[in-house]
Amino acid sequence: MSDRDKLLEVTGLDVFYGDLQAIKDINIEVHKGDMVALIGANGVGKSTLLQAIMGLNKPKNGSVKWKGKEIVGMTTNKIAQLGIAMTPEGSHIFEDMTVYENLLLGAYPKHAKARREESKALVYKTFPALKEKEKQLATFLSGGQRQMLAIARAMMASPELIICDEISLGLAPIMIKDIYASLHTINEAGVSFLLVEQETKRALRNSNYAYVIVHGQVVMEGPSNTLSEEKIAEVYFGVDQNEEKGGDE
Amino acid sequence: MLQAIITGLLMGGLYALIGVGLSLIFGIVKVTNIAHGDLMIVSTFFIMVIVTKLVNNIYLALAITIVIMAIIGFLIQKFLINTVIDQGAETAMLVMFGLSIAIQNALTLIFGAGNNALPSPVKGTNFIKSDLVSISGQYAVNFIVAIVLIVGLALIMDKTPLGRSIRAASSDTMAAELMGINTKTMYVWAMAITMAATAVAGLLVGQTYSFFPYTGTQFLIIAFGVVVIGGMGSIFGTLIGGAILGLAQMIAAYLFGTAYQTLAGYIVLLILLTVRPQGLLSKKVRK
Repeated sequence: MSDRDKLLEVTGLDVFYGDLQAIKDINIEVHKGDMVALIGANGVGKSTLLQAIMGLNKPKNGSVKWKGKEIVGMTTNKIAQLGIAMTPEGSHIFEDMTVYENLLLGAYPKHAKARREESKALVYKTFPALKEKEKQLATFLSGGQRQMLAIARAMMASPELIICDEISLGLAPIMIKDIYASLHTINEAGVSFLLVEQETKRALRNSNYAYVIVHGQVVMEGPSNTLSEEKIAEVYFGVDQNEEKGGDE
Repeated sequence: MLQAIITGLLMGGLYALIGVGLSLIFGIVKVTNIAHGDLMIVSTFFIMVIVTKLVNNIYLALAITIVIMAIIGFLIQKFLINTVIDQGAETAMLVMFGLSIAIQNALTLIFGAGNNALPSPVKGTNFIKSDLVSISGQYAVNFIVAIVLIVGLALIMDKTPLGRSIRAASSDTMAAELMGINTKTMYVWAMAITMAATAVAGLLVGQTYSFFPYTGTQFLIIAFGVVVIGGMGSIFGTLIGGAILGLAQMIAAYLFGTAYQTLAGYIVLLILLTVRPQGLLSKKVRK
């Protein structure tokens, strides 16, 4: 990858929960137009990394740069105003508000407010189901629609990068396919993605670059078409077996 | 009996207005504002001082006090509650408990412990007077103002962009931050709006009852009753809570004598806490 149009650059990032090191010396990059996947089993630190990028936890060492500017130490709401949107794990839509109100809140950043109508048209074109449910309370949406609303709300922020944490969790395969198809549509319109996905095959299929994270560290990375499920599985099991022999937990 | 029901309902309006501030702050900031009653009495004293020393018009005094209370609310939230809220709601509650004691002592120091009253243009007048039922002008004004203000607060929260952002901050803090909303600033706004409304409650209370520096606690208990009955965090719940509390007090006074008025309020509260501890119209709270 070239240095041109580098959006996000994470270098040497360490995050601790008390004495426990959740992620260790992580380096990742997202360039304009990318769909970058973070692959790894449950609890290896993928979500911790995303939260660190968004200022939801405080890294001990390392840096996170957005377009060359350090953002570690900024509050979450300031980072969100820069043009980074995130759909957190479990969607976190505003349950007691209507679909439309959720979308309005997505367009909260100043630059997004100006483009609100334009974004809304795009959102309804991408997710026609949401237009039908515009006036309904978000709490009555189905699982798939909730994730659609979470993505739609992120789109309303007219972001340059959308970070998705476990967007496919708990959804039916057909729904997952639809949602990833919509991510590609959004990506073609110029929005970059950083995706966390547990299922290796799906992650590779829906990204152009991938990082494999095991026990808080990047153990493998490369263009998605050069990584195979088998290779990644090898890395997983290799580490797991060592861990069992070590038996330190 | 009809008289008791009507007086009870009218009193309930004022009770609801006293309670709505407590309910809003609990619903939005998730902090039980122990100093709520004292802050209301502070506004009553402000109005008294301004109307006697500065301007000779009670409504102008109220307008000035609304601004002062909004600023006080801003300062309390920004410099007291927001700095401790990350350590949990209990810490913030203790800070407000400290503020409550400080307010009571400061007021006693300045004004002495004696009784005070605010002038009222409708004092001694009757809104309705007949053999069947009579309503004092003050009670009628209290009721109408309370309803208008509570509906107004509900509209601000429901329909305006600011209200929407405040609701987002309170219903899911992390998601709101991810939208770019500075949730702590939203809490500051909420407290400022609440305190402005509390100033109006302070005027009506001062015109209806005599007050002194320790009166705040009495009204905190009323506010608690209203909010627990109606449901913590629900704006319209305070109207129902106020009505039930007012009715219980007045009907008990009619049936058993005025000595039982306060007791009846607590009994209703106890029954409700047993049957429906979350209140009648409680809002689901998610962190």
